Amino acid sequence: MRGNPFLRKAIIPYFDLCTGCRTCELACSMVKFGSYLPRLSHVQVTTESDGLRAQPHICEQCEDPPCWRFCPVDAFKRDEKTNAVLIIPEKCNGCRNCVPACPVNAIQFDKATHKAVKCDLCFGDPQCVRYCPTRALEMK
Amino acid sequence: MTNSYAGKVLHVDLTKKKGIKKQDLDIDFAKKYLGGKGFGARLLYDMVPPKIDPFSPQNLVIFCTGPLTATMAPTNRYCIVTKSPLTRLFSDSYAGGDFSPELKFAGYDIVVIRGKSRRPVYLWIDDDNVELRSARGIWGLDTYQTQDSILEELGDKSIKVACIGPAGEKRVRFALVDSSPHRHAGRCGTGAVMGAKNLKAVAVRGSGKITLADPKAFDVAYWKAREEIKKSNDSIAYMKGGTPSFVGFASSQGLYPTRNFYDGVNDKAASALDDVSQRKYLWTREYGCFACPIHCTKIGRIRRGPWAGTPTDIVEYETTGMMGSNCGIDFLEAVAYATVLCDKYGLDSISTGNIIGWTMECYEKEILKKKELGGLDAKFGNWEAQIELVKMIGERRGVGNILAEGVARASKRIGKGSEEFAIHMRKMETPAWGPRGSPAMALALATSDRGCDHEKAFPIAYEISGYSWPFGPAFDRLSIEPGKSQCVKWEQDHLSSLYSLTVCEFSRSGITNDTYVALVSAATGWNIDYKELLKYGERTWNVTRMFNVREGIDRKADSTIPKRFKEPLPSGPAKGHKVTDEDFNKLLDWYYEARGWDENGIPTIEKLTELGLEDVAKDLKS
Repeated sequence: MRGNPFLRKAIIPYFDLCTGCRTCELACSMVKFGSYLPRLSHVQVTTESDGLRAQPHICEQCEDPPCWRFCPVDAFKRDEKTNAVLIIPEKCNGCRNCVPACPVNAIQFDKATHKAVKCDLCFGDPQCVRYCPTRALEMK
Repeated sequence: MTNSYAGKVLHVDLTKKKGIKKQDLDIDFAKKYLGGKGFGARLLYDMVPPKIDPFSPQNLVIFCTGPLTATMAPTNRYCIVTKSPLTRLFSDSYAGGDFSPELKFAGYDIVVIRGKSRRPVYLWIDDDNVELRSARGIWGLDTYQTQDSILEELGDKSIKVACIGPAGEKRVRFALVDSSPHRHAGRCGTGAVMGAKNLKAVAVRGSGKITLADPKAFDVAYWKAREEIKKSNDSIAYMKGGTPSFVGFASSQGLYPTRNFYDGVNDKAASALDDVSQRKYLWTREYGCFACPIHCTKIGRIRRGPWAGTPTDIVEYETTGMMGSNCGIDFLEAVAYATVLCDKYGLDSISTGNIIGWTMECYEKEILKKKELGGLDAKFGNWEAQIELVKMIGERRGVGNILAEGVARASKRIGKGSEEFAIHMRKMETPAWGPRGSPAMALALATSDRGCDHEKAFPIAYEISGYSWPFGPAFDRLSIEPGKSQCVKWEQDHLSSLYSLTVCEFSRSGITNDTYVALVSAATGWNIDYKELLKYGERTWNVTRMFNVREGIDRKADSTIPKRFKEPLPSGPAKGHKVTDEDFNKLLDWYYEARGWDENGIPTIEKLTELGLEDVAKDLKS
């Protein structure tokens, strides 16, 4: 379950650069689902009602992930190349325990396939980072 | 075949108990009118009977999206089409933000609202579940409180809302619609029509998907658009300073309205209200509408003065002109605060600024006395009076009740010669691009389909900024030539087609016509070229014209230039220039000729037939 802190890679969101345009949500859903489906995008942008802050929420690929700890069927694994936390769709039983377990709301639930989905860093070439017009997301 | 339309039309009749109906989007209709303004224009023409009262239950409020809405194509907007209570003509209002894509993700391209509810309600669209909910608890709240209350009541912060404020409820004739996150569909009084229907808001949550006909081709066109935006100086100006970056230009060219359009130069206000000052004293961050890489909006807090700490949006160019310079005010924080008040009440700040400028002139000429104004010393430059007047208009209190009718009706009511300096065309208040010193702009304002409007054609770019337009070179500033009329016609068609795609007109400074065409073609799967795209615009323009002709618009209504514009401009590079009847009529003649309309401004049967509008042409004969 524990990752190697020296290999840890994640997408870091910068709220000061984020304009709240949600291009990242569209890019992510296009790659993962082949259509624009921002409700299931693995990155979610929220804007405060007074507009003073927009914040992208994205998986930080925790060293000790709470979602994994909450999973009753151990449907998670580490990606060998990027060290990202992945959901194994075949093992996921759709119990949704991981969704509220995530403190940064980075796990979405796909009702169509009845499985949880999360950021997999696009296996090293994250599209949200590529499309972001203001470089508010960075892979580090 | 897949395309980027959501595929459904939602009909809501507020009068009936079970008035909610869903219908599939007719793909032939979509092919003919494209979306957005095109959809709205044709539906309004077909479904609204002639000469009705805009506040009657028969009037419609139509929310329209286009084929590029909710895709990644740079800039997303939606349009609300209705018969305007201000002009009693066709009206279309646009807003960006997150509301339009949410409608499409919920599965609807168009939402048509008719009838009148007996009690205040709001419409709640949760994908397939559509219901009317009581708005008794939120009636009377301002736009900010309304949005927050609805999100709290429905228990989800990701819901998007379009709502009206107290001004809309009280039927102020230039009330607007405020949609998440506080983007405003203004100008024509759409909010007042919603208020007359007892409809406080529309709340949407969509969890569906939007597919593209050709995702690969779309991606190529998308990156081309991004590159073009990056290379365009105008787009960079929008990114850095938003619309107030044009304040200095307007004032130096004598186009910046000053003291109720008396003058066109106001360097003091220009330097106090421009993007540099706003960045220093207001903004803290940039905001981009859905999928927009231009992010021309800035958001921040007022830092100094009695309102320190108040969150504020960018004060747009138009607002600096109308609420600022046109009222003789050059105190940035006061203008920003008055604009925040306009937003909260749900007032259009262009019309509000225009009418307060007129009130101030009335006061200085002693047509309106201090007693009539509720004790306000409404001299030009008195920002305290301005703030109080905004509140009075928003609440229809005291003299505000008269001002809320718009400058045309108010001046008629007050009389005593005040009509002579009421600056409006066809009852819509003139925006902050004074037409003296730009003859083609006078034509553009006068022939705009929603009254008097700078967004339907902007020939200043070709007269003064020195850009060449696609069918000819740049013009001499003050010359009167047929090319200018043709240019206005092309601008109107071009922008109409962009409004049918519902992209924002600010994107066109960067994105080329070919790229738009590539984006639409890849999204819809129809192979169209730029000529066809223009044809969509022209078709829409002729439908709106026919709507207006049915309401009684003709050459005479097109040529009501306010008296002030017929007096020479006191200063600036175009000092002494005025809009004369002779010049204007020449331009108007050429314009009608370019449009293929008769000399009275009525579309001909040949023109309508050529555009595939045979059924509309039939109405012409009768």
